[in-house]
Amino acid sequence: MSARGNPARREARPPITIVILGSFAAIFFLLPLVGLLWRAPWASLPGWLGSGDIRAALELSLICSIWATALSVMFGLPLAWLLARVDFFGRGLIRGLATLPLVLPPVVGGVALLLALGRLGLVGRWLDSAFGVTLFGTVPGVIIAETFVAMPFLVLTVEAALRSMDRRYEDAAATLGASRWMVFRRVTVPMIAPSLGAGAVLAWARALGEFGATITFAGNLPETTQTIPLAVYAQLQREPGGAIALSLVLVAISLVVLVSLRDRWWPAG
Amino acid sequence: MSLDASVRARIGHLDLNAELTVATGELAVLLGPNGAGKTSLLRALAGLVPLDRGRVELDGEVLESPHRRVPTERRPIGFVFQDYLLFPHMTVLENVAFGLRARGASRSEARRQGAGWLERMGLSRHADLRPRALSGGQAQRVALARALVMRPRLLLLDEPLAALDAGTRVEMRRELVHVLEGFQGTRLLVTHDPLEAMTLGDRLVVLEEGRVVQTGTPAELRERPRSNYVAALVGLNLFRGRAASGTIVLENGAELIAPEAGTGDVYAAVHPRAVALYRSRPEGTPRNVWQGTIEGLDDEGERMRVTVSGPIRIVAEVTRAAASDLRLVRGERIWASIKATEIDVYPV
Repeated sequence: MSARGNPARREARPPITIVILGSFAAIFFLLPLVGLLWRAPWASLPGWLGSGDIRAALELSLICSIWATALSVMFGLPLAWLLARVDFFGRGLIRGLATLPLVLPPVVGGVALLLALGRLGLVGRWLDSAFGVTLFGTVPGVIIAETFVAMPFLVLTVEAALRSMDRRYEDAAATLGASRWMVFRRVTVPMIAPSLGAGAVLAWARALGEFGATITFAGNLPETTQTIPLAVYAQLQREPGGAIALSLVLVAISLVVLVSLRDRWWPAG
Repeated sequence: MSLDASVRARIGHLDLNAELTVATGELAVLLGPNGAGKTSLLRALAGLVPLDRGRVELDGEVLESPHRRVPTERRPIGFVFQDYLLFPHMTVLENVAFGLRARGASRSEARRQGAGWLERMGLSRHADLRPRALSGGQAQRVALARALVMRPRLLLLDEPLAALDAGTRVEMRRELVHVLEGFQGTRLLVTHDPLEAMTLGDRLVVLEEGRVVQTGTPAELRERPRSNYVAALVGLNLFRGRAASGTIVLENGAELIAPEAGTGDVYAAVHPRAVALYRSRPEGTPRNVWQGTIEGLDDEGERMRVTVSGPIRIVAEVTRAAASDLRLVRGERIWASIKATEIDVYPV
């Protein structure tokens, strides 16, 4: 039964205080966008968007953010399940660690990653000597930095969904002979699919906008590690028009994805 | 041979400590007030709650003992949950085929057998629907099919009719009886509805506060209740006391005279119709006579149920004509009497 189909609810007027305060919030979100549109170099925009640098940054941003989302799902979903379903020693600590990137300034995250996985880092030193793998200045470096800041959104969303789902469905599956692995695949994951989707979208959005950890851990090299946020920063110092054009591209992509997925993953009303 | 279980578990506030046997092919009904632990007991049998201690044996196979625990997914037990718990993201047919897939059947084989069960349940047309498109009665049949397709040796049903509205419940009960008769295994059904319990069960098991307080056929429960809950269900007055030389001393010190009482701890059951009420002290044969206050009056159509408090709190049932002759008014004093021969005394 939708809210629209219910005449009593359609006629009810929302309280004026809520409307006014809520409108302020909406305007607050809208205003910066208007500012961007206002100062956008509309005449030279096609030229900017056609330039190779920008195309490369755009492509890199999309590829890296999608990879980061995929990695977040692949590893974050199992972690969320463990946090929600298994009572193990140190669970509180792990949960805190998994949400730490949310509070940490991304630059700090980047430094920490550097100290762990950089060429001279704890694990990075060994990666370098044993496999000749260096992450600084590479696409995988960007993906790792983005995953680090994006995965908490997925873990948090999915863990909350796992905790609130009716676990008796899992019991029902067990009485039908399903192993825990089959229960996970065929019952648990499909039943939390909306939250998993929402978490993945949040993680993707966070990865797309990632700046601090990426620039610290992977560097700012055009065509290899310079994603759109990094390119905006670089352009801002040389050519503000280009920065605004890039920002518009980022805003457009994000809005299209978020608005189109919003109704699918967050059942509206 | 049968289900033979002794279950001890602490679940929240509930201290479950129940022993239960159900003969092969028998339909036992687990009856008890809300919160008595009926659902918890079923879950324990299915291996869904960890036991502190206990033993579950089915047809000689140990499913749970202090040394061995067969996990839920490997127990030959079917479970029909109270609100059915059909998987909302699967079609009706996928729900029914789920267990067969879990046990390793091929997709086509699972679908074929699942479709066969849906046909037996008269649900073939609904095979491709999602569970939310089904009525309560249809959902119940799908849940039954989903459990029965596994050919379990023990079928557990948790309040199978509670989720249905009153209008369809009578019809669904008839259908449920039909389906359950077609199933050869051992069946244990939970309900809090005494009428349902009496009509469905070969044998009733009454659970109160995690403990089995009585088992027996519906007739045995009706005639000789062994707890206040059961007595209230079957509409009898029940007293517990110690009998000696023709007198039963009740727990509150009051006495009932019953020559056949024997000796020792006994129950005394009195049918409300065996309680007579008088305005003034009756003369003659009845030996159990006392004065009390009318505490409650319940109109039951042709008859009135009168609750009389006093040294012995009792419910009497009188005809409407008698009630108006006696001009029964709540709060007034009245004489009650029981003939000694109307008291059914049996050992605790």
